Amino acid sequence: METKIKSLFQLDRSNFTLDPSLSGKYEKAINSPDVIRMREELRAITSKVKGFPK
Amino acid sequence: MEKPVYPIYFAPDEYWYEFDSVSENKIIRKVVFYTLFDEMPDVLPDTYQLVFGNLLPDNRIDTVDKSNNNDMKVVLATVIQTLMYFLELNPQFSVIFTGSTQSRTRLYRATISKLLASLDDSYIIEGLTFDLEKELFSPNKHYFAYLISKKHGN
Repeated sequence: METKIKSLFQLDRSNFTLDPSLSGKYEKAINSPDVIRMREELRAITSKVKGFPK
Repeated sequence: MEKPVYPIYFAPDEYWYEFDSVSENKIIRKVVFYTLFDEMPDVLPDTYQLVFGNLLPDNRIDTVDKSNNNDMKVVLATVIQTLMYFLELNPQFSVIFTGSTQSRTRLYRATISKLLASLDDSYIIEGLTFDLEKELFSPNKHYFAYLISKKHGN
């Protein structure tokens, strides 16, 4: 009989490298038109979702 | 089971992660960052929105470009790695994310669902349905957004 084993996707910290040169990019990115649009769309639709506590 | 992911570089003080999508034809710098979604603090407290896209030379982000680099599964697995890392560092937060467009959400759905379904049980995964309901995530359902958090005590 075949036994199915659920494979888990684990966090592998070895994939990550700290790079101080990346600091400071956030401020520019957050004002990208695409990001503003995504944020507004998410706000608009989540405000209608049932199941959130009132 | 090992799922291939790209090497990830991150900023020390910000929730900012970069990696390169690599094919024989091109290399595309991708960025994932987490920004406080404080529009609805009463119902979504301590929630961060995952933003993912191509990093442009001026540090703006293009979330709708179709890279066509034939590595969507590896890219999405890498994005999920950043999500797990973010929640490990900040277990008190939740993360909400969706596709940048409806067609992209549909395109990503199967892969994202498979990846989320293979997370261990230390995560709470919820889906926001197109009927505007929030429910526990089911791999075979369509959602317009996902909400993920760590279970307390893990």
